[in-house]
Amino acid sequence: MHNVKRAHSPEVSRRGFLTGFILWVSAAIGAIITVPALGFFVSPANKISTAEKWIDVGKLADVKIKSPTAVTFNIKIKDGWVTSETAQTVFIVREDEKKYIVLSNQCTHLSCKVAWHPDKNEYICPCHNGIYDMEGGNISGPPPRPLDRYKTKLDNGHVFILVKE
Amino acid sequence: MEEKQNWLQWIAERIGWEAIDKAMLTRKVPKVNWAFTLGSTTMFVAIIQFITGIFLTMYYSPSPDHAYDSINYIMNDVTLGWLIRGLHHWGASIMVILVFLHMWRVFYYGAYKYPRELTWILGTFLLLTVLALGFTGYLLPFNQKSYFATQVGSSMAGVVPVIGPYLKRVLLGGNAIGALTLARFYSWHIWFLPALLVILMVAHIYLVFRIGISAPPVFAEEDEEA
Repeated sequence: MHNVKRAHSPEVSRRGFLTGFILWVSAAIGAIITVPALGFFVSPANKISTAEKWIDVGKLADVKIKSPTAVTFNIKIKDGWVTSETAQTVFIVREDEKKYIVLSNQCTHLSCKVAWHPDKNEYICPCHNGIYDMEGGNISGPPPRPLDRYKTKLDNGHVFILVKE
Repeated sequence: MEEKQNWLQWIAERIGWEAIDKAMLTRKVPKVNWAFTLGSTTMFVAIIQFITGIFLTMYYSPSPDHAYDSINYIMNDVTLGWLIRGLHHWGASIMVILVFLHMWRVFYYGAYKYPRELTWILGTFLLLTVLALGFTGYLLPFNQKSYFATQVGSSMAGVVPVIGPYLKRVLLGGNAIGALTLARFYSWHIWFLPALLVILMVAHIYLVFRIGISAPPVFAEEDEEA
């Protein structure tokens, strides 16, 4: 009733003014806490590392042609206040003497790790049965795109790949 | 029923806002001064401590290997981390000061007397809880100052007759300050003591609303003049 009446009259009562004033000051104080807190909350999501590094994944000559070979290496990861090493696996695939590719072992569906099955000539993801051919192309299952390929270079017979740090 | 009913009124009607408003916000109070706001101010700082403390747990790691580094991370790398930790750090000291000022106001005005004795007794427990929060929180940065403050504090517990040495071991989770000490101080600091604080605060404030606040005492001379 009070509110309805005041909405039609330009006059503001002392009580109405103070109530409004206190509410606005409270809202301002709330914002002073909430805004920094939100920044604090999302902070790590805004720190995306763009650093890249060439990593030696072994001699090309050690990999047999048409036989994808899993190579595991360690990369250093800065994780908040901890710097740790994690193992990462890739497949080196030689199509012939000269042509080769390096594939990620991470399924493009929901990031499980795929394994090479030499008997079937397929990479199979154990999570949801995503199946890829030797070059990482999709055969069946839920994966939306082929396995990711790394940028590569050959130096002194060694394969190097460009890895995000 | 009103024709123009907005959603606020819809909620107000269902939660019985009118009664809450009458009991808390528009209740009658005697003519008082600014010293009577110290209790609310303490509560306000407590709320700030709750909010900033909850946020700090997102980055803080209560292990001897990581505690110090995680706080460095908060201070240097997290967006406005220095501000959130700063509020919590200074809020802790301010809260202890406010609690004492509030207590002195109540004491000098004799506001602890009948029928408010229970409010006062709950207040003494609140004081102890706030001090315990300060003590447990002091260890968490795990720097030199924290370490030796805890050393001193727990040694004080150790000189209690008969049960002292045992009490000290319970406090530290062993014979010396270490991983167990940090973990249990953290647990007390973020779970046990805040829960106790909330329970005591609710009871304390309930009594303030139920009994009402006392007017400043009138001295004999003023009384005669009046």
